[in-house]
Amino acid sequence: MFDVSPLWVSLRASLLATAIEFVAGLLCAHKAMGLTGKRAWLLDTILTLPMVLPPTVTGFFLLVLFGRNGPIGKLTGTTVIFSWQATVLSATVVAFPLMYRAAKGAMKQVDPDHIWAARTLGFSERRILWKILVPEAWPGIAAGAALAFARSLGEFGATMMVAGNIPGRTQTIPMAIYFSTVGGDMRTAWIWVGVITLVSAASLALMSRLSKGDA
Amino acid sequence: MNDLEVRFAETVGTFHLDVSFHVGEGEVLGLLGRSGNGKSLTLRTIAGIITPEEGSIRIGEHVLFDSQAGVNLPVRERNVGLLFQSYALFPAMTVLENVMCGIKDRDKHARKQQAVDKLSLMGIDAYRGRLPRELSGGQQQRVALARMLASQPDLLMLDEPFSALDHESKQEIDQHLNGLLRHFTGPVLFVSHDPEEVRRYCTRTLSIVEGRVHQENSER
Repeated sequence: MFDVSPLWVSLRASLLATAIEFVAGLLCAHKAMGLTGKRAWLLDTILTLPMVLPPTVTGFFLLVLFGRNGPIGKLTGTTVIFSWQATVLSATVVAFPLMYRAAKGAMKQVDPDHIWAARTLGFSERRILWKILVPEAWPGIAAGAALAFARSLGEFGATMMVAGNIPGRTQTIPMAIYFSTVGGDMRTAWIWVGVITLVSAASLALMSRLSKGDA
Repeated sequence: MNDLEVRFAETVGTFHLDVSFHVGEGEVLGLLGRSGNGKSLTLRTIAGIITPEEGSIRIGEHVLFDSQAGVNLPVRERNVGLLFQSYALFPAMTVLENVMCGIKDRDKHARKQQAVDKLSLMGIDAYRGRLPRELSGGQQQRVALARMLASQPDLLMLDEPFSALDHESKQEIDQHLNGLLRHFTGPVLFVSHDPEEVRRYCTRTLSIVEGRVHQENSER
């Protein structure tokens, strides 16, 4: 009997990760827009780092932070390492920069006079984000979300470090591909390669369709 | 009394702006000058978009900026209406939503009623369901005026309101603008490079040359 659980583990991880990245990416991009000089550079560097670091390094940092003896593990008295939540955590952190950078780039294109006009009309900064920036930068933001989803779905290195390969719990599609290939089960590997290629291509098609809106 | 008292100095790049003037309640003061002389900069400074190095800006008892007292209200607390040269309508909102969004009333029904009133005043109520990009320049201008009025500002500032309009649209705006200026009871600042426009709409005129204000002998 063919085990389809990697599909559900992967979808759960990447959908939840995309939802978290979406909100956090917008808030961080908005925050970054208001900063200048060294602070802007520092925030930008920290938030983009997971995009350029090897995923195993990102995974290593997550292990150190969230492990039972890490600062967050000690604080909460529990650990998410090797649980299904760890698949969400690694996918979120690795794909976050894609959402953040796309959102920031798109929001910077919004006419500054629209933002100033909103302020003269009494808008708070939070209201400017949701009522002016997000709708006007929507094509770029949506494209960023699609890209982040595809990246979350393909996440392997950091997930391997913090979630492991527990069938039915933390075994995602990329994990299933790796271990069936190593184990010589090429049929299973082929099936998952096909599935992930299809879903990733569909996300990219969705992305290019959404980006057309700003032409 | 809701008069406007402005006195400030600032340097933007190599340009130095040093202005001082007073606008009485119900007075329409024209600021006349060629582009690059500091007219728009003056309006943006009063609105709070640019912070001057020193000086003070107040409307009636309401101090917007005072370098000595360390007061510098954020833009959203200044309650000034600024008509941008580009109108700055929000493209993702309908005409009605654009006008409603600046009204502070908590009741949605009341907000809608006030917005419709202002759109009617500008003769553009029939377009309330449209998006800004579906309107002509003159129509967009009228929506921007309605939006500014609906937010009930203490001060109106018009930045070259005719600069982007063709002849026909100018005539279309003319009657509405005249009515608006007559109805508004607070001070009004009208910025233009065209002496003809300034004479037509303003009760008094100052000219700005290279960042400094000069009196004009065109009191009416």
